[in-house]
Amino acid sequence: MVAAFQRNWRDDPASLWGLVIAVYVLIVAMGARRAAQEARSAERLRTALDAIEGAANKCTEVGQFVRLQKWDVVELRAQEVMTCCRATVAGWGDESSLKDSRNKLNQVATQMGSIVEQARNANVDQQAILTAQLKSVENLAVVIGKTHKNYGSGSR
Amino acid sequence: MPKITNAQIVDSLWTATENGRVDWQPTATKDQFAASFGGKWTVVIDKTETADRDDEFWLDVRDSEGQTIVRVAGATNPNIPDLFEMARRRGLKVDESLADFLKEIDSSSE
Repeated sequence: MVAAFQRNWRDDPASLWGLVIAVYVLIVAMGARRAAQEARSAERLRTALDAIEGAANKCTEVGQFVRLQKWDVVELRAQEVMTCCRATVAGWGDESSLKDSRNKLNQVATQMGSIVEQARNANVDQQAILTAQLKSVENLAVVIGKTHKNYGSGSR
Repeated sequence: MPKITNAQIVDSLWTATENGRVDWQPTATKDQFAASFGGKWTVVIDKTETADRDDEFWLDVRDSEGQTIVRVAGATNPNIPDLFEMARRRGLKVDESLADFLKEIDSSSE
């Protein structure tokens, strides 16, 4: 079979050049596809990062409104943070490199859910809310740091 | 696929917590702790005092949308109160605090 190919290429060198060009075009196309995928992935991370940074600011506000005992605003802000975390986790899919960050966002969503419930209570445990809020701020800070790192290495 | 029992879930969590592999964190609800796994699931363990001043425990496994997929009542599993106590110690960093406390006692007695 190899001998048949060699005979064919000797008789018709254009077919050899055709093959070389086809392989070259294939490699270039694969590279372009990979670059497009990386760009899409980096864009997804960038969007998520903006959302998580927004959520972290709102989470800090939760603490401020708890101290002012503005429970309706605490409930609203906590709901916003929870929704953002759930949406980000859903958008990230099952990518294994983001597992720790997804865990932290799920943890924040659960803590915010409990803050929403507490803010609706007649007997609010202010200290418990502040403890959960502080943990959430820490979790979000870790996710922001990791996402920055991933975004930096992904966009390079 | 074999059916997974509630006892298996509690036992796995108990072992993982005992080995320090579960990051239990307090929620805003008194005596409630949560931990997340695999980027998908969150476990919440809770102790509530009933009107008769008895302790009532439950453990929830929730998906990433926050829906409860399994609830195990403490009354149906004798390991849940122990698991709760381990989660509480881990969530409130009790052992770290006690280690500092003991160190302080030791240094003050020297």
